[in-house]
Amino acid sequence: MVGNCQSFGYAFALKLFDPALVVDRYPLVAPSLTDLKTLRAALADYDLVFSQDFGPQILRDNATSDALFADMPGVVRLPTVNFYGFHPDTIHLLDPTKNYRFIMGPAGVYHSALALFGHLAGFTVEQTEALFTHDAFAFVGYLDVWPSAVEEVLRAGQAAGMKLENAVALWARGRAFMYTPTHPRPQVLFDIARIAMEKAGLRADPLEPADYAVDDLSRDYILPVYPPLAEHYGLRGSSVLKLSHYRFSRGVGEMLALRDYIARSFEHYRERRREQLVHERVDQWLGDKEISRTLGLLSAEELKRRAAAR
Amino acid sequence: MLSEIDHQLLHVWGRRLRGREDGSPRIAVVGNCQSFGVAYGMKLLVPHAHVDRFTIVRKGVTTLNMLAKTLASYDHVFSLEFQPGFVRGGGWEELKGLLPNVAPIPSIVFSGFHPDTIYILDPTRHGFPVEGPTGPYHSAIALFAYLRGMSVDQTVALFGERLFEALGYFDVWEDSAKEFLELAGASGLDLAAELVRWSRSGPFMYSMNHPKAHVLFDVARALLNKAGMKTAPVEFADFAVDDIVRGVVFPVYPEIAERYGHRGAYLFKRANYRLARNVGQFEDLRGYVAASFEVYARHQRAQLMAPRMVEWEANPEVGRLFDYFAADALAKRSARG
Repeated sequence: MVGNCQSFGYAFALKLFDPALVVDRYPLVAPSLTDLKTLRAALADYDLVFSQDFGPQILRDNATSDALFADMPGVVRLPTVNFYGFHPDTIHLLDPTKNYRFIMGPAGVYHSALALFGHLAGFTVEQTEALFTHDAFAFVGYLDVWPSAVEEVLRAGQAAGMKLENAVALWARGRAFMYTPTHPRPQVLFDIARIAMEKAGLRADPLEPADYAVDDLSRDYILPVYPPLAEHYGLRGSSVLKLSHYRFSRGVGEMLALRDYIARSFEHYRERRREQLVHERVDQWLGDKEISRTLGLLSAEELKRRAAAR
Repeated sequence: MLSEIDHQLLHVWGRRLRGREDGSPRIAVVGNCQSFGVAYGMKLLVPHAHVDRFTIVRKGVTTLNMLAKTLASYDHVFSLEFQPGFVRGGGWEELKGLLPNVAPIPSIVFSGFHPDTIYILDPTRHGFPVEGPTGPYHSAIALFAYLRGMSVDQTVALFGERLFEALGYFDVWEDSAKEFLELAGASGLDLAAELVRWSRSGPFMYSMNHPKAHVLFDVARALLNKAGMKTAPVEFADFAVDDIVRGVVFPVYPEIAERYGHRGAYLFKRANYRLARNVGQFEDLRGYVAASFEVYARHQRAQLMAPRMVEWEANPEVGRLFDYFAADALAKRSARG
């Protein structure tokens, strides 16, 4: 199993659904010393190779998954599941002054567009927090992202030769099925692994995966589905953000309430120059006086409402 | 060698010396493998709290006085019971003497899903647990079959509804539930409604003393409520970090799971804490029995005499049941060709 951070879930599912398989995982998540030839030689020894797509700057020779698939036509492709439907406010910031390296914030690579907007527009933490409401979410379009988010998953499935319509419908019935826009919950990876096994002619045992749900990704960041969006979907949301924590023997890890998350984000942003903090969506909001004015108004209205309720 | 509790004390002292302690109230959770889930649940329910976990699973160099002194600086201390011997100078009872305000955490033990699981405490090694393919958890049926000299084939054939029925495996739920609620009650918690909810959701235990994470979260909430702390509304399923599932999962046999309206399996998961390195190992029933027999073959008979084995050996009817069901199942299989 070759792939990114999602590949543990896929590899674990292959093993879970057929314990007789010998499953090795080749994680491709950061620049490595391995080149395509070496990877290819290692994979040649397996009866079956499953792989997600991967881009340049992972293998030493910048070879991509296209080169691997051309070399090994029998590779069974697995999609990378990215889904923004539960986390439309989450953005990545790439620093143009530093060769587009990820800017890390209090939640690693995950930033809040509204928090960045608040910082750049000169809002206080409280004013920014007051943007996490139904009205503000509706205004910036966060309540309308579901169809396009589903489309993105279906497209990823199609690219890997899979129809995921039924699976998405099933996932959508339960809780939020993503921890972050790029980290699915195990059920998602397990269901797709079953489809891949069928494609590969492997028999998958019927089994309740929840009884064995080892979950690598839950150790990383878990972003909340904010209440205005959760309620829109008929779910219960929260405003607690779980930070990355892999050393269970040492402690339980840290959580941040929304206000603290915004405050810490502001601290990070204050250490950077304006030209480093670039994001198309946020720049569009800032560049459009009507949008900026309306967001300011919505924030003020919410603060007024809270003050009146006290 | 330093144990988990020793490391944690050093870590906490080091942090205090450096003045790096954020969060309020300050909560300490003391206990075994279940303590992570409770501590994590508390942190999730009170995100601004400072929560430290003090793991007591192996003997260390920490003394009870050192532990009590460290815990005394917390606003709330919750502890599972622990026996003397892990911490020098005493166990749970002695800790209560030093810290009268420590709140007990009920140990979650529930055999309803795992009536076949036993421990083998080697009497020739001061009761040290014999470790098999699923750590300290063994199948009583597999061990008894081994002691009767049965083959792997015969033993595998034994696993089925009729033998489970005869051994009373379908009758343990009520007693398990009663014991569990009594234990919770002794800690001042009424978990009856929770038990019903967990039971409806599926097998809520990975083994008889390893609950799923959502169970420990509910216990954490009950403990905080009892302590008068305000908790955040949070959907645990969205933040379900589960430490315990990285350990062994002893399956709920399908015949038993079906009685409770769930789907079981004969899939035995071995412990694997190094997720970055590999996906871990599983055994089907045959693999599990064979691996268990390999372990038993390295022991003398006297080392394997768990209390249930002594009881079953003393009752000739049990031996006859095993012989009959093994022969019957293999005869049927032969007849089917």
